[in-house]
Amino acid sequence: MVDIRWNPHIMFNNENIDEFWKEHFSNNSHKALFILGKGFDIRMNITLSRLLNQCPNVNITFLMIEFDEGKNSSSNKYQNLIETNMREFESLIGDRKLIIEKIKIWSKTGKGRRIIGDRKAADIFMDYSDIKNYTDIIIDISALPRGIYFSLVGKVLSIIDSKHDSSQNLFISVAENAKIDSQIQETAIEDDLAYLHGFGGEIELESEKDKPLIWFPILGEEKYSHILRGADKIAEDKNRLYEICPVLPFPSKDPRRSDSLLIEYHGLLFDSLDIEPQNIMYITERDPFQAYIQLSKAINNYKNSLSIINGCKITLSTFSSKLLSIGSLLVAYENQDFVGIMNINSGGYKILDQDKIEGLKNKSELFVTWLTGIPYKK
Amino acid sequence: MSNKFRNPFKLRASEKIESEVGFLRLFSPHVLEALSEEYQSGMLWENILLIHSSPGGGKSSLLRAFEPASLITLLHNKSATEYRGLFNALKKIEVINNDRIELLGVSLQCTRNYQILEELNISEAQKTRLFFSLFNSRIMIATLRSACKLKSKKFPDDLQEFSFQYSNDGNFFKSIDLPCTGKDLYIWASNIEKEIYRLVDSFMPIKDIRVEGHDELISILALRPENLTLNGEKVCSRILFMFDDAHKLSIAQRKIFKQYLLEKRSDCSVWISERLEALDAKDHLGSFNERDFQVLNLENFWKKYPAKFSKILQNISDKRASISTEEVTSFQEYLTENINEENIKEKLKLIIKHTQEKLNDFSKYTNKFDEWINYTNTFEGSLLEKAVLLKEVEILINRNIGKTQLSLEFPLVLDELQIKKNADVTNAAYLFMSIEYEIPYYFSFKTLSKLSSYNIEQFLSFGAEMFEEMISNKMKGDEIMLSDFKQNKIMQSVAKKRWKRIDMEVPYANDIQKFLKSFGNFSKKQTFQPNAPYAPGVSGFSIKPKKQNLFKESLWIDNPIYEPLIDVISTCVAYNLLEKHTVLQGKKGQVWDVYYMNRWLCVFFGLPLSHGGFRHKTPDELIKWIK
Repeated sequence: MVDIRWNPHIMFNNENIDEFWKEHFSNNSHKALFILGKGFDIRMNITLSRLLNQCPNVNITFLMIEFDEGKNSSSNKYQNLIETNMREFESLIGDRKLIIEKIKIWSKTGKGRRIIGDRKAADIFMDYSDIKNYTDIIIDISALPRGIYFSLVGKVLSIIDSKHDSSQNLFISVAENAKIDSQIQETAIEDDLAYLHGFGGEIELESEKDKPLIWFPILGEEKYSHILRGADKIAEDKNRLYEICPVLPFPSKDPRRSDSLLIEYHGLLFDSLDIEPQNIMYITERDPFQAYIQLSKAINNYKNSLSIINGCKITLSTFSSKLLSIGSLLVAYENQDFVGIMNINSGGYKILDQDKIEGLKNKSELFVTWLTGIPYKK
Repeated sequence: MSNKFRNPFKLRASEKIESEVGFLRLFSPHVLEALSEEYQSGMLWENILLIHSSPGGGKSSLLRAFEPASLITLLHNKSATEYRGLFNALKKIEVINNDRIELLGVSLQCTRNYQILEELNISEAQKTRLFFSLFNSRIMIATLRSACKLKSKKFPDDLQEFSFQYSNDGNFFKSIDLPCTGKDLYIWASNIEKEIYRLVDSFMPIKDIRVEGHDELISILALRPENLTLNGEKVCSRILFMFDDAHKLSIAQRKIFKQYLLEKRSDCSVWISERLEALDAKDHLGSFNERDFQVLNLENFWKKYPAKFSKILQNISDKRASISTEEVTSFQEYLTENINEENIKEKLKLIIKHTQEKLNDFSKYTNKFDEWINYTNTFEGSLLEKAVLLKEVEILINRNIGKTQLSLEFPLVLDELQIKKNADVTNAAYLFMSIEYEIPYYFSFKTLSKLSSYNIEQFLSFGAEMFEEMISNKMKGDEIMLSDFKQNKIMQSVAKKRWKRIDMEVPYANDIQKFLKSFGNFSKKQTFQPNAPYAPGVSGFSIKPKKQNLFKESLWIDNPIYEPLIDVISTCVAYNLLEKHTVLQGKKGQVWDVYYMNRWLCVFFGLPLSHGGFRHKTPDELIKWIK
């Protein structure tokens, strides 16, 4: 087994997070930075309300990322939900300091558009001086798109790692609710795909193109077009060897979920993409660190097996929950020279049933992963 | 791994079943005729050629034919009947001869990662230098890889055997001593590429990088046949640089790239393939200035030779079927070509009854058509023939009574009916009764071929569902043959699925669906007029400015009011929802850009599949389709 960074690791779930916040912020020495997205997702304030409920006197600064998907985005019609979220947010933070960072997700040039949100998100923090005043950084990804939070988390981790004696605590929190996820549909998905900023994995270097490409798409529901576009990108170089290893969530809250996914994508996986059944892999649905360990094992197996032909490159894509995506983020961060993250960005979102979604808010579960700081000090 | 697949039509990566041998077998030398024309006029080599098509239109396949692997296969099999046409076509344009391959085809995929350079916080001049450096390094590496392939050498291990010399008078190569080995050149180029990559992809600022910036595309200037040798021998007589998917470069990068090539006008051979999406919105709608480059539009090319395109589809489908594990070894022969008249007998009777009633109503007001109507009453053909005849007569009567004529109301004789009846009227008659009485209309291989809109990927997506049904029939022990009814149902169902996917896959989906729905309704209204004035139907529009003689077309394009319309039409062209055709119509051979629905949209709206009918619309009328 290869030596991997986050093993052992610390994670809190819905049941034990309140107790942890209370204990962790019990003394006044902490100064926290709370980063969140301004969005229509009704889970936007769950982490914050739980934290402030337990620690009403915590010294905390807020950094809100206001992302702009463009005037034609289908998300624009959910302004009422954003306003409701903002009213709740403002009442929660009171007169605490709030910094707003506006980010454009797309850059429109003539007829074309290209994704810039990942790079802009990484540029929020330039170096260590931007975070040195905070003992704790909490990034709540519940209302942030993947196209933003991957590069943001990667950048913050890099900055913390660049200061070897840093003891800052970095937490990633997410309010998970599969039923809400299934009600939010992505629209106008990206056509010409690229790797996320900081997570290129040196995959597209012309000088590295002789290395086979192994793609691990972590599957979730209703992502047929995403998977197809991802597969086209993987196979775009006709002379490059590639292999696809679909990743299914199991064990999972719904024990039949991976079976249902196999039924949903049977034609796509086995007829269109010609996947070998033995390539299918399972990772646990509700523990991103376990996902990280399992994926790390798999990619290192490939790396070792293919070392005889000069190694390989790995692409990870998450079409599943944000919780699981944290696992792939950690794998890619730890192996930046050969693992990349390919995300299929969307031009907007569509809520299938707004009334239904509001009733589901309270059934969301909070998960907090602890990536740097106290528990990892040697 | 097995070389057989359950439903090979669904297989996404064609190279899995198309080895070089298979690929060349399917490749039609006919498409090379367009290149041959360029060759005859001395414009093919030492020139710049733009290759345009929509996604799946065959750009990459055309380029692949010029890559070393394909040419080697061809050289080794030059006497085989199946390759002779292609071999001779390539021989004619000096790519290959009986003894050796003359051309080194260097293919470079333009991925989106060039665009990232635009996001760096540096000056425009620095961005250009980095772009040229990155481009140069990749062209060098790709050329060395192709040279290895052509000479059956191992890449990059055997690069030591190659030599590269260049006078370097312009001091283009700063950090490498020339002449050098292929290996040195590879290391030099790889280092430049990696340094730029680190610069753009690192989270933390890179302080120690000093990238060798280039002001020229030195790779294209320096990589001449005489400069690249293997054991003292020239690797080839000509190098062809092929840039695939150039639409993935940023607009600025495409501009400086093309501008550079134009200004240099060196004697290098460069082909640039790009999707129509690459063109700016105005390029789609206005008149793209193409005079500076030779342009090959693949869809336009195939439009001239539909029968040959159909033949290619036939080859592809039979080849795919032959590698199915399910033992359905053919495709075309399991698609019924004719309508099953027995199954629609009752409907035909109903059509005959209803149409006869309508014709009798005409007789109440005029005796002008009595001879025609009597002929239909005494006609002794099959029910289908009779129903079609009645519909034809109904259309022709409607045409006649719609005309404001000064002529006297003399009864029309039977000969006039025969003269006026033509293929368009017959097609319209058949369409009218099919749509109104839900009789299968979209079936047969010929229809499937039309439905492809000259796009192989589109053909395969419909073919995949047909083949799935054939497999199911076989498993159930039923007849494999797909009935007219079943084919019609599958085609409509695939079209519906495609329509649903617009929302998820296409930008401006809301506006686009509104626009296309309005376009569909407009086309139906025009097509299904009782006199079928645009038989067999309308499925296109051209943009006619309101005051054409006073204002140039560009004026409305520049007006921000029409921005949503420009976005919608351009995106539709880019995503292959609309096909842009050039049509001659009007006085003095006036040329119109006509936007036709992709043929699958015709199935979705219940319209005929033939191109032809279009209407002029003003930008004001068109923008109302989005409201």
